Amino acid sequence: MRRMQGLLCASIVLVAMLGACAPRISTLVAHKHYREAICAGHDLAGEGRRRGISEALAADSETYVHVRRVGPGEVVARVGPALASEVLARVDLVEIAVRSNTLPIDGLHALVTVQGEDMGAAAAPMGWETLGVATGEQVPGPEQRVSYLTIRNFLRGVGVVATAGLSLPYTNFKGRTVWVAPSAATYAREMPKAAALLAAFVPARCGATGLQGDGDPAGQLCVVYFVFDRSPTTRWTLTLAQTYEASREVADGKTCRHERSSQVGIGATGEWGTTFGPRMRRLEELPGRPAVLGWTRE
Amino acid sequence: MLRPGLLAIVVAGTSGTSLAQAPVASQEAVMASEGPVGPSVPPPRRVVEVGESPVYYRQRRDTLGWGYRIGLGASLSLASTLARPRSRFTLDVLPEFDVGFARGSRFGALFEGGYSYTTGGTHLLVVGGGPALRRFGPKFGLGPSGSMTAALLGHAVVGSMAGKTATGARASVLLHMWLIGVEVGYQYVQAGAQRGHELRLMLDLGVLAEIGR
Repeated sequence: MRRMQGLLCASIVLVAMLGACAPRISTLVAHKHYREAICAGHDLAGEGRRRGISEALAADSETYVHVRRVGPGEVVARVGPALASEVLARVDLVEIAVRSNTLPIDGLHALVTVQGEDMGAAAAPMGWETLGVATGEQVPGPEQRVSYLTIRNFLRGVGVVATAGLSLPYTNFKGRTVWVAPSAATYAREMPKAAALLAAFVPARCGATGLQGDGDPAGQLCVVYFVFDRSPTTRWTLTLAQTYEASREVADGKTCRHERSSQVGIGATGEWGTTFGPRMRRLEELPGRPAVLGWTRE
Repeated sequence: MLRPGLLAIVVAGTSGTSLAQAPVASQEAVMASEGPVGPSVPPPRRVVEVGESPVYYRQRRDTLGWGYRIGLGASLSLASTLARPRSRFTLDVLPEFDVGFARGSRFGALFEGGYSYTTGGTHLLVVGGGPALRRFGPKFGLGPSGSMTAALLGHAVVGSMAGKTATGARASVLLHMWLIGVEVGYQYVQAGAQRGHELRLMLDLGVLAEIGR
Protein backbone atom coordinates (compact mmCIF):
# COMPACT_ATOMS: atom_id res chain seq x y z
CA MET A 1 0.00 0.00 0.00
CA ARG A 2 2.78 2.37 0.93
CA ARG A 3 4.61 1.51 -2.29
CA MET A 4 1.50 2.29 -4.30
CA GLN A 5 1.17 5.65 -2.56
CA GLY A 6 4.81 6.39 -3.31
CA LEU A 7 4.34 5.53 -6.96
CA LEU A 8 1.25 7.74 -7.14
CA CYS A 9 3.08 10.66 -5.53
CA ALA A 10 6.01 10.25 -7.91
CA SER A 11 3.66 10.25 -10.89
CA ILE A 12 1.93 13.41 -9.65
CA VAL A 13 5.26 15.16 -9.16
CA LEU A 14 6.41 14.11 -12.64
CA VAL A 15 3.24 15.35 -14.34
CA ALA A 16 3.40 18.57 -12.36
CA MET A 17 7.00 19.11 -13.43
CA LEU A 18 6.07 18.51 -17.07
CA GLY A 19 3.17 20.92 -16.95
CA ALA A 20 4.85 23.57 -14.86
CA CYS A 21 7.01 24.90 -17.68
CA ALA A 22 4.22 25.23 -20.23
CA PRO A 23 2.30 28.51 -20.41
CA ARG A 24 -1.34 28.35 -19.40
CA ILE A 25 -3.78 28.32 -22.29
CA SER A 26 -6.09 30.77 -20.56
CA THR A 27 -3.19 33.23 -20.27
CA LEU A 28 -2.24 32.81 -23.92
CA VAL A 29 -5.81 33.55 -24.97
CA ALA A 30 -6.28 36.42 -22.54
CA HIS A 31 -3.06 38.07 -23.75
CA LYS A 32 -3.88 37.42 -27.43
CA HIS A 33 -0.79 35.27 -27.99
CA TYR A 34 -2.58 33.53 -30.83
CA ARG A 35 0.46 32.21 -32.68
CA GLU A 36 1.39 30.28 -29.55
CA ALA A 37 -2.21 29.30 -28.87
CA ILE A 38 -2.75 27.87 -32.37
CA CYS A 39 0.29 25.59 -31.97
CA ALA A 40 -0.89 24.66 -28.47
CA GLY A 41 -4.30 23.76 -29.85
CA HIS A 42 -2.70 21.22 -32.13
CA ASP A 43 -0.46 19.72 -29.48
CA LEU A 44 -2.84 19.57 -26.54
CA ALA A 45 -5.38 16.93 -25.85
CA GLY A 46 -8.75 18.00 -24.51
CA GLU A 47 -11.54 19.30 -26.68
CA GLY A 48 -12.52 21.90 -24.10
CA ARG A 49 -9.23 23.76 -24.23
CA ARG A 50 -9.13 23.54 -28.01
CA ARG A 51 -12.63 24.89 -28.30
CA GLY A 52 -11.67 27.73 -25.97
CA ILE A 53 -8.83 28.77 -28.28
CA SER A 54 -11.06 28.49 -31.33
CA GLU A 55 -13.84 30.53 -29.75
CA ALA A 56 -11.38 33.24 -28.74
CA LEU A 57 -10.00 33.44 -32.27
CA ALA A 58 -13.51 33.62 -33.69
CA ALA A 59 -14.55 36.28 -31.20
CA ASP A 60 -11.53 38.46 -31.90
CA SER A 61 -11.87 37.94 -35.67
CA GLU A 62 -15.38 39.44 -35.52
CA THR A 63 -16.18 38.01 -38.92
CA TYR A 64 -18.88 39.85 -40.82
CA VAL A 65 -20.63 38.47 -43.89
CA HIS A 66 -22.75 40.11 -46.53
CA VAL A 67 -24.58 38.46 -49.42
CA ARG A 68 -26.46 40.34 -52.14
CA ARG A 69 -27.74 39.65 -55.60
CA VAL A 70 -26.17 42.01 -58.12
CA GLY A 71 -29.06 44.02 -59.45
CA PRO A 72 -29.94 44.28 -63.15
CA GLY A 73 -29.08 47.95 -63.24
CA GLU A 74 -25.58 47.27 -61.95
CA VAL A 75 -25.01 44.47 -64.43
CA VAL A 76 -26.25 46.66 -67.28
CA ALA A 77 -23.95 49.46 -66.17
CA ARG A 78 -20.95 47.14 -66.19
CA VAL A 79 -21.46 44.97 -69.28
CA GLY A 80 -24.20 46.61 -71.29
CA PRO A 81 -27.90 45.77 -71.68
CA ALA A 82 -27.60 42.95 -74.22
CA LEU A 83 -25.15 40.79 -72.28
CA ALA A 84 -26.82 41.69 -68.97
CA SER A 85 -30.24 40.49 -70.07
CA GLU A 86 -28.77 37.35 -71.58
CA VAL A 87 -26.88 36.47 -68.40
CA LEU A 88 -29.61 37.38 -65.94
CA ALA A 89 -32.08 35.27 -67.84
CA ARG A 90 -30.01 32.23 -66.99
CA VAL A 91 -28.36 32.90 -63.61
CA ASP A 92 -28.07 35.25 -60.66
CA LEU A 93 -24.79 37.02 -60.01
CA VAL A 94 -24.17 37.21 -56.28
CA GLU A 95 -21.63 39.25 -54.35
CA ILE A 96 -20.38 37.79 -51.06
CA ALA A 97 -18.26 39.93 -48.76
CA VAL A 98 -16.30 38.65 -45.75
CA ARG A 99 -14.59 40.92 -43.26
CA SER A 100 -12.48 40.22 -40.21
CA ASN A 101 -10.42 42.12 -37.68
CA THR A 102 -6.65 42.06 -37.88
CA LEU A 103 -5.13 39.43 -35.64
CA PRO A 104 -1.54 38.92 -34.47
CA ILE A 105 -1.07 35.79 -36.55
CA ASP A 106 0.70 35.01 -39.81
CA GLY A 107 -2.20 34.22 -42.11
CA LEU A 108 -5.96 34.09 -42.20
CA HIS A 109 -7.52 32.28 -45.13
CA ALA A 110 -11.18 32.06 -45.97
CA LEU A 111 -12.84 29.38 -48.04
CA VAL A 112 -16.38 30.19 -49.14
CA THR A 113 -18.80 27.57 -50.41
CA VAL A 114 -22.53 27.78 -51.00
CA GLN A 115 -24.95 24.86 -51.15
CA GLY A 116 -28.59 24.70 -52.05
CA GLU A 117 -30.97 22.85 -49.77
CA ASP A 118 -31.52 20.22 -52.45
CA MET A 119 -29.78 19.10 -55.62
CA GLY A 120 -32.11 21.18 -57.78
CA ALA A 121 -29.94 24.30 -57.78
CA ALA A 122 -26.27 25.04 -57.28
CA ALA A 123 -23.89 27.93 -56.88
CA ALA A 124 -20.21 28.26 -57.76
CA PRO A 125 -17.57 30.98 -57.81
CA MET A 126 -17.40 33.12 -60.89
CA GLY A 127 -15.00 31.57 -63.36
CA TRP A 128 -14.79 30.37 -66.95
CA GLU A 129 -16.80 27.22 -66.30
CA THR A 130 -19.62 28.94 -64.45
CA LEU A 131 -19.71 31.86 -66.85
CA GLY A 132 -20.02 29.35 -69.67
CA VAL A 133 -23.33 28.40 -68.09
CA ALA A 134 -24.27 32.06 -67.65
CA THR A 135 -23.49 33.10 -71.22
CA GLY A 136 -24.25 29.86 -73.06
CA GLU A 137 -20.73 29.88 -74.52
CA GLN A 138 -18.84 26.67 -75.13
CA VAL A 139 -16.01 26.17 -72.64
CA PRO A 140 -12.83 25.23 -74.54
CA GLY A 141 -11.49 21.76 -73.84
CA PRO A 142 -7.94 20.89 -72.92
CA GLU A 143 -5.29 21.64 -75.52
CA GLN A 144 -2.93 19.16 -77.09
CA ARG A 145 0.78 19.80 -76.73
CA VAL A 146 3.85 17.79 -77.67
CA SER A 147 6.38 17.32 -74.89
CA TYR A 148 9.91 16.01 -75.38
CA LEU A 149 10.54 15.78 -71.64
CA THR A 150 10.46 12.00 -71.35
CA ILE A 151 12.67 9.47 -69.61
CA ARG A 152 13.44 7.78 -72.92
CA ASN A 153 14.59 11.06 -74.45
CA PHE A 154 16.72 11.67 -71.37
CA LEU A 155 18.37 8.27 -71.86
CA ARG A 156 18.83 9.03 -75.55
CA GLY A 157 20.51 12.27 -74.57
CA VAL A 158 22.79 10.42 -72.17
CA GLY A 159 23.72 8.13 -75.04
CA VAL A 160 24.57 11.08 -77.26
CA VAL A 161 26.76 12.61 -74.57
CA ALA A 162 28.43 9.25 -73.83
CA THR A 163 29.37 8.84 -77.48
CA ALA A 164 30.61 12.41 -77.72
CA GLY A 165 27.83 13.19 -80.20
CA LEU A 166 28.68 10.38 -82.63
CA SER A 167 25.29 8.71 -82.11
CA LEU A 168 23.32 11.91 -82.66
CA PRO A 169 22.55 11.31 -86.36
CA TYR A 170 21.11 7.92 -85.44
CA THR A 171 19.11 9.09 -82.42
CA ASN A 172 15.42 9.79 -82.85
CA PHE A 173 14.04 12.00 -80.06
CA LYS A 174 10.31 11.33 -79.93
CA GLY A 175 7.69 13.67 -78.53
CA ARG A 176 4.82 12.69 -76.27
CA THR A 177 1.36 14.15 -76.65
CA VAL A 178 0.03 15.71 -73.46
CA TRP A 179 -3.22 17.50 -72.65
CA VAL A 180 -3.01 20.83 -70.88
CA ALA A 181 -5.63 23.24 -69.62
CA PRO A 182 -6.39 26.06 -72.04
CA SER A 183 -4.54 29.29 -71.50
CA ALA A 184 -6.32 32.43 -70.34
CA ALA A 185 -5.88 33.83 -73.85
CA THR A 186 -7.67 30.81 -75.33
CA TYR A 187 -10.54 31.22 -72.87
CA ALA A 188 -10.81 34.92 -73.65
CA ARG A 189 -10.74 34.29 -77.41
CA GLU A 190 -13.39 31.58 -77.37
CA MET A 191 -15.57 33.02 -74.59
CA PRO A 192 -15.71 36.79 -75.24
CA LYS A 193 -18.89 37.31 -73.23
CA ALA A 194 -17.45 35.51 -70.21
CA ALA A 195 -14.25 37.52 -70.59
CA ALA A 196 -16.28 40.72 -70.53
CA LEU A 197 -18.02 39.61 -67.34
CA LEU A 198 -14.73 38.66 -65.69
CA ALA A 199 -13.32 42.06 -66.57
CA ALA A 200 -16.39 43.78 -65.14
CA PHE A 201 -16.72 41.64 -61.99
CA VAL A 202 -13.33 40.78 -60.56
CA PRO A 203 -14.10 37.33 -59.11
CA ALA A 204 -12.20 37.83 -55.86
CA ARG A 205 -10.50 40.84 -54.43
CA CYS A 206 -9.24 41.75 -51.01
CA GLY A 207 -8.32 45.00 -49.37
CA ALA A 208 -6.80 45.88 -46.07
CA THR A 209 -9.37 48.61 -45.45
CA GLY A 210 -6.77 51.08 -44.30
CA LEU A 211 -4.92 48.62 -42.10
CA GLN A 212 -2.06 47.84 -44.45
CA GLY A 213 1.25 49.24 -43.44
CA ASP A 214 2.88 47.30 -40.67
CA GLY A 215 2.77 44.04 -42.60
CA ASP A 216 2.14 42.08 -39.44
CA PRO A 217 -1.40 41.38 -38.41
CA ALA A 218 -3.76 39.40 -40.60
CA GLY A 219 -7.33 40.27 -41.41
CA GLN A 220 -8.99 42.08 -44.29
CA LEU A 221 -12.12 42.58 -46.31
CA CYS A 222 -12.64 40.31 -49.30
CA VAL A 223 -15.37 40.47 -51.92
CA VAL A 224 -16.07 37.47 -54.13
CA TYR A 225 -18.62 36.89 -56.87
CA PHE A 226 -20.63 33.72 -57.28
CA VAL A 227 -22.90 32.49 -60.04
CA PHE A 228 -26.17 31.07 -58.71
CA ASP A 229 -28.76 29.04 -60.56
CA ARG A 230 -31.97 31.06 -60.78
CA SER A 231 -34.12 29.39 -58.18
CA PRO A 232 -36.16 31.78 -56.05
CA THR A 233 -37.41 29.07 -53.71
CA THR A 234 -34.10 27.39 -52.93
CA ARG A 235 -32.82 28.10 -49.44
CA TRP A 236 -29.04 28.47 -49.48
CA THR A 237 -26.41 27.57 -46.91
CA LEU A 238 -23.10 29.41 -46.81
CA THR A 239 -20.05 27.61 -45.42
CA LEU A 240 -17.14 29.74 -44.33
CA ALA A 241 -13.97 27.82 -43.50
CA GLN A 242 -11.43 30.12 -41.90
CA THR A 243 -7.85 28.94 -41.49
CA TYR A 244 -5.72 30.72 -38.91
CA GLU A 245 -1.96 30.27 -39.42
CA ALA A 246 1.06 30.65 -37.19
CA SER A 247 4.48 30.25 -38.74
CA ARG A 248 6.71 32.76 -36.97
CA GLU A 249 9.29 31.03 -34.74
CA VAL A 250 7.65 27.64 -35.25
CA ALA A 251 10.31 24.93 -35.02
CA ASP A 252 11.55 23.15 -38.15
CA GLY A 253 9.95 25.73 -40.44
CA LYS A 254 6.51 24.25 -39.88
CA THR A 255 3.20 26.10 -39.79
CA CYS A 256 0.51 25.55 -37.20
CA ARG A 257 -3.00 25.86 -38.61
CA HIS A 258 -6.43 25.95 -37.12
CA GLU A 259 -9.43 25.59 -39.38
CA ARG A 260 -12.82 26.63 -38.16
CA SER A 261 -15.69 25.89 -40.49
CA SER A 262 -19.07 27.52 -39.90
CA GLN A 263 -22.27 26.81 -41.78
CA VAL A 264 -24.95 29.48 -41.77
CA GLY A 265 -28.30 29.61 -43.46
CA ILE A 266 -28.74 32.65 -45.69
CA GLY A 267 -32.23 31.81 -46.93
CA ALA A 268 -33.61 32.27 -50.41
CA THR A 269 -32.33 34.97 -52.73
CA GLY A 270 -35.48 37.04 -52.23
CA GLU A 271 -34.87 37.24 -48.48
CA TRP A 272 -31.38 38.72 -48.67
CA GLY A 273 -32.64 42.26 -48.76
CA THR A 274 -34.23 41.69 -45.37
CA THR A 275 -31.52 39.45 -43.92
CA PHE A 276 -28.61 41.63 -44.87
CA GLY A 277 -29.82 44.90 -46.34
CA PRO A 278 -27.07 47.46 -46.75
CA ARG A 279 -25.16 46.23 -43.68
CA MET A 280 -22.87 43.29 -43.07
CA ARG A 281 -24.01 40.77 -40.46
CA ARG A 282 -21.89 39.09 -37.81
CA LEU A 283 -21.42 35.44 -38.69
CA GLU A 284 -22.67 34.44 -35.26
CA GLU A 285 -25.93 36.33 -35.80
CA LEU A 286 -26.95 34.10 -38.69
CA PRO A 287 -28.68 30.78 -38.01
CA GLY A 288 -26.04 28.11 -38.18
CA ARG A 289 -24.69 24.79 -37.14
CA PRO A 290 -21.87 24.27 -34.65
CA ALA A 291 -18.44 24.98 -36.04
CA VAL A 292 -16.22 22.11 -37.11
CA LEU A 293 -12.65 22.41 -35.92
CA GLY A 294 -9.37 21.14 -37.30
CA TRP A 295 -5.77 21.50 -36.14
CA THR A 296 -2.57 20.76 -38.04
CA ARG A 297 1.15 21.34 -37.69
CA GLU A 298 3.13 20.58 -40.82
CA MET B 1 -27.34 24.10 -64.33
CA LEU B 2 -24.25 24.87 -62.26
CA ARG B 3 -22.10 22.44 -60.41
CA PRO B 4 -21.42 23.28 -56.76
CA GLY B 5 -18.08 24.92 -56.25
CA LEU B 6 -15.96 26.65 -53.73
CA LEU B 7 -13.69 29.62 -53.64
CA ALA B 8 -10.62 30.03 -51.54
CA ILE B 9 -9.43 33.47 -50.73
CA VAL B 10 -6.49 34.54 -48.71
CA VAL B 11 -7.96 37.14 -46.48
CA ALA B 12 -4.56 38.24 -45.34
CA GLY B 13 -1.02 37.26 -44.71
CA THR B 14 2.30 38.76 -43.88
CA SER B 15 3.11 39.04 -47.55
CA GLY B 16 0.10 41.21 -48.14
CA THR B 17 -3.02 40.61 -50.16
CA SER B 18 -2.91 37.58 -52.39
CA LEU B 19 -5.20 34.98 -53.84
CA ALA B 20 -5.14 31.23 -53.69
CA GLN B 21 -7.03 28.92 -56.02
CA ALA B 22 -9.18 31.70 -57.38
CA PRO B 23 -10.50 30.52 -60.74
CA VAL B 24 -9.85 33.71 -62.59
CA ALA B 25 -8.60 34.58 -66.01
CA SER B 26 -5.73 36.69 -64.88
CA GLN B 27 -4.48 36.72 -61.33
CA GLU B 28 -2.33 39.75 -62.05
CA ALA B 29 -5.42 41.66 -63.02
CA VAL B 30 -7.01 40.80 -59.71
CA MET B 31 -3.94 41.76 -57.75
CA ALA B 32 -3.87 45.10 -59.45
CA SER B 33 -7.53 45.79 -58.88
CA GLU B 34 -8.65 48.56 -56.65
CA GLY B 35 -9.89 47.82 -53.16
CA PRO B 36 -13.41 46.53 -52.62
CA VAL B 37 -16.33 48.82 -52.14
CA GLY B 38 -18.80 46.91 -50.04
CA PRO B 39 -21.73 47.28 -47.72
CA SER B 40 -21.45 49.20 -44.49
CA VAL B 41 -19.65 47.51 -41.63
CA PRO B 42 -18.05 48.69 -38.40
CA PRO B 43 -14.40 49.62 -38.90
CA PRO B 44 -12.10 46.66 -38.33
CA ARG B 45 -10.29 46.42 -35.04
CA ARG B 46 -6.60 45.64 -34.70
CA VAL B 47 -6.07 42.95 -32.08
CA VAL B 48 -2.64 43.25 -30.50
CA GLU B 49 -0.74 40.98 -28.14
CA VAL B 50 -0.39 41.97 -24.52
CA GLY B 51 3.31 41.76 -23.78
CA GLU B 52 5.80 39.47 -25.41
CA SER B 53 4.54 36.08 -26.42
CA PRO B 54 6.10 32.98 -24.96
CA VAL B 55 7.63 30.55 -27.43
CA TYR B 56 6.87 27.19 -25.91
CA TYR B 57 4.27 25.35 -27.97
CA ARG B 58 6.00 26.54 -31.13
CA GLN B 59 9.11 24.62 -30.15
CA ARG B 60 9.72 21.00 -31.03
CA ARG B 61 7.65 18.46 -29.14
CA ASP B 62 10.68 16.85 -27.60
CA THR B 63 9.45 16.18 -24.08
CA LEU B 64 8.81 12.50 -24.68
CA GLY B 65 11.03 9.92 -26.30
CA TRP B 66 11.45 6.22 -26.45
CA GLY B 67 14.09 3.77 -27.50
CA TYR B 68 16.05 0.79 -26.42
CA ARG B 69 19.60 -0.26 -25.77
CA ILE B 70 21.35 -3.57 -26.01
CA GLY B 71 24.32 -3.67 -23.71
CA LEU B 72 27.22 -6.07 -24.11
CA GLY B 73 30.00 -6.11 -21.55
CA ALA B 74 31.70 -7.52 -18.52
CA SER B 75 30.61 -7.94 -14.95
CA LEU B 76 33.66 -7.71 -12.71
CA SER B 77 33.18 -9.32 -9.33
CA LEU B 78 34.34 -7.00 -6.56
CA ALA B 79 33.32 -9.23 -3.71
CA SER B 80 31.19 -12.35 -3.65
CA THR B 81 30.38 -15.19 -1.33
CA LEU B 82 29.97 -17.39 -4.40
CA ALA B 83 32.85 -19.12 -6.09
CA ARG B 84 32.81 -17.43 -9.53
CA PRO B 85 35.20 -16.08 -12.14
CA ARG B 86 36.56 -12.60 -11.67
CA SER B 87 35.03 -11.44 -14.97
CA ARG B 88 31.82 -12.67 -16.61
CA PHE B 89 30.02 -11.81 -19.84
CA THR B 90 26.80 -9.88 -19.36
CA LEU B 91 23.99 -8.81 -21.66
CA ASP B 92 21.22 -6.22 -21.16
CA VAL B 93 18.13 -5.66 -23.31
CA LEU B 94 16.45 -2.53 -22.02
CA PRO B 95 13.59 -0.52 -23.56
CA GLU B 96 13.88 3.14 -22.53
CA PHE B 97 11.45 5.97 -21.95
CA ASP B 98 12.72 9.54 -22.02
CA VAL B 99 10.93 12.49 -20.39
CA GLY B 100 11.96 16.13 -20.77
CA PHE B 101 10.95 18.62 -18.13
CA ALA B 102 10.05 21.23 -20.77
CA ARG B 103 10.21 21.70 -24.51
CA GLY B 104 13.68 22.63 -25.60
CA SER B 105 15.05 21.73 -22.16
CA ARG B 106 18.05 19.47 -21.88
CA PHE B 107 17.05 18.38 -18.42
CA GLY B 108 14.80 15.41 -17.96
CA ALA B 109 14.55 11.87 -16.74
CA LEU B 110 15.29 8.52 -18.30
CA PHE B 111 13.45 5.35 -17.36
CA GLU B 112 14.26 1.86 -18.48
CA GLY B 113 13.26 -1.68 -17.74
CA GLY B 114 14.08 -5.04 -19.23
CA TYR B 115 16.16 -8.16 -19.04
CA SER B 116 19.71 -8.65 -17.85
CA TYR B 117 21.76 -11.82 -18.21
CA THR B 118 25.13 -12.69 -16.74
CA THR B 119 26.95 -15.96 -17.39
CA GLY B 120 26.83 -18.33 -14.47
CA GLY B 121 23.04 -18.45 -14.37
CA THR B 122 22.01 -14.93 -13.44
CA HIS B 123 18.73 -13.78 -15.01
CA LEU B 124 17.35 -10.48 -13.78
CA LEU B 125 14.42 -8.21 -14.45
CA VAL B 126 15.71 -4.64 -14.26
CA VAL B 127 13.56 -1.55 -13.66
CA GLY B 128 14.94 1.91 -12.98
CA GLY B 129 15.25 5.55 -13.79
CA GLY B 130 16.96 8.79 -12.94
CA PRO B 131 17.93 12.29 -14.04
CA ALA B 132 19.22 12.77 -17.54
CA LEU B 133 20.86 15.40 -19.69
CA ARG B 134 19.29 15.06 -23.11
CA ARG B 135 20.12 15.90 -26.71
CA PHE B 136 23.34 17.78 -26.20
CA GLY B 137 26.68 17.69 -27.95
CA PRO B 138 27.38 17.34 -31.66
CA LYS B 139 24.50 17.02 -34.11
CA PHE B 140 26.31 15.13 -36.91
CA GLY B 141 23.71 16.53 -39.30
CA LEU B 142 21.13 14.13 -37.86
CA GLY B 143 18.71 16.73 -36.62
CA PRO B 144 18.34 20.11 -35.00
CA SER B 145 19.38 18.90 -31.56
CA GLY B 146 22.46 17.19 -30.17
CA SER B 147 22.99 13.48 -30.43
CA MET B 148 24.20 12.76 -26.88
CA THR B 149 22.36 11.68 -23.75
CA ALA B 150 23.85 11.27 -20.28
CA ALA B 151 22.01 9.81 -17.32
CA LEU B 152 22.50 8.68 -13.73
CA LEU B 153 20.16 5.78 -13.10
CA GLY B 154 19.12 3.72 -10.12
CA HIS B 155 17.60 0.29 -10.70
CA ALA B 156 15.87 -2.42 -8.77
CA VAL B 157 16.72 -5.94 -9.90
CA VAL B 158 14.85 -9.16 -9.24
CA GLY B 159 15.28 -12.62 -10.72
CA SER B 160 17.41 -15.67 -10.15
CA MET B 161 21.07 -16.18 -9.43
CA ALA B 162 22.61 -19.65 -9.25
CA GLY B 163 19.15 -21.16 -9.03
CA LYS B 164 17.96 -18.99 -6.18
CA THR B 165 15.65 -16.03 -6.10
CA ALA B 166 17.72 -12.89 -6.21
CA THR B 167 17.00 -9.24 -5.44
CA GLY B 168 19.26 -6.25 -5.49
CA ALA B 169 20.05 -2.80 -6.80
CA ARG B 170 22.09 -1.31 -9.61
CA ALA B 171 23.45 2.20 -10.10
CA SER B 172 24.59 3.21 -13.58
CA VAL B 173 26.14 6.13 -15.37
CA LEU B 174 25.22 6.23 -19.07
CA LEU B 175 26.70 8.23 -21.89
CA HIS B 176 25.11 7.73 -25.28
CA MET B 177 26.04 9.25 -28.59
CA TRP B 178 23.68 8.46 -31.47
CA LEU B 179 23.72 4.65 -31.84
CA ILE B 180 26.46 3.75 -29.40
CA GLY B 181 27.08 4.33 -25.74
CA VAL B 182 28.89 3.22 -22.65
CA GLU B 183 27.64 2.34 -19.19
CA VAL B 184 29.60 2.06 -15.98
CA GLY B 185 27.63 0.57 -13.12
CA TYR B 186 27.71 -0.99 -9.74
CA GLN B 187 25.37 -3.86 -8.82
CA TYR B 188 24.61 -5.51 -5.54
CA VAL B 189 22.67 -8.77 -5.61
CA GLN B 190 21.47 -10.94 -2.76
CA ALA B 191 20.25 -14.51 -3.24
CA GLY B 192 19.54 -16.28 0.00
CA ALA B 193 22.73 -16.16 2.02
CA GLN B 194 24.81 -15.28 -1.03
CA ARG B 195 25.96 -11.69 -1.63
CA GLY B 196 27.54 -10.24 -4.74
CA HIS B 197 29.12 -6.87 -5.45
CA GLU B 198 29.87 -6.25 -9.13
CA LEU B 199 31.34 -3.56 -11.33
CA ARG B 200 29.70 -3.52 -14.76
CA LEU B 201 31.41 -2.14 -17.87
CA MET B 202 29.08 -2.14 -20.85
CA LEU B 203 29.11 -1.10 -24.49
CA ASP B 204 25.61 -0.17 -25.67
CA LEU B 205 23.95 -0.21 -29.05
CA GLY B 206 20.55 1.40 -29.44
CA VAL B 207 18.49 4.41 -30.33
CA LEU B 208 16.52 7.04 -28.48
CA ALA B 209 13.93 8.87 -30.57
CA GLU B 210 11.37 11.58 -29.91
CA ILE B 211 7.71 10.72 -29.76
CA GLY B 212 5.84 13.14 -31.97
CA ARG B 213 7.15 16.31 -33.52
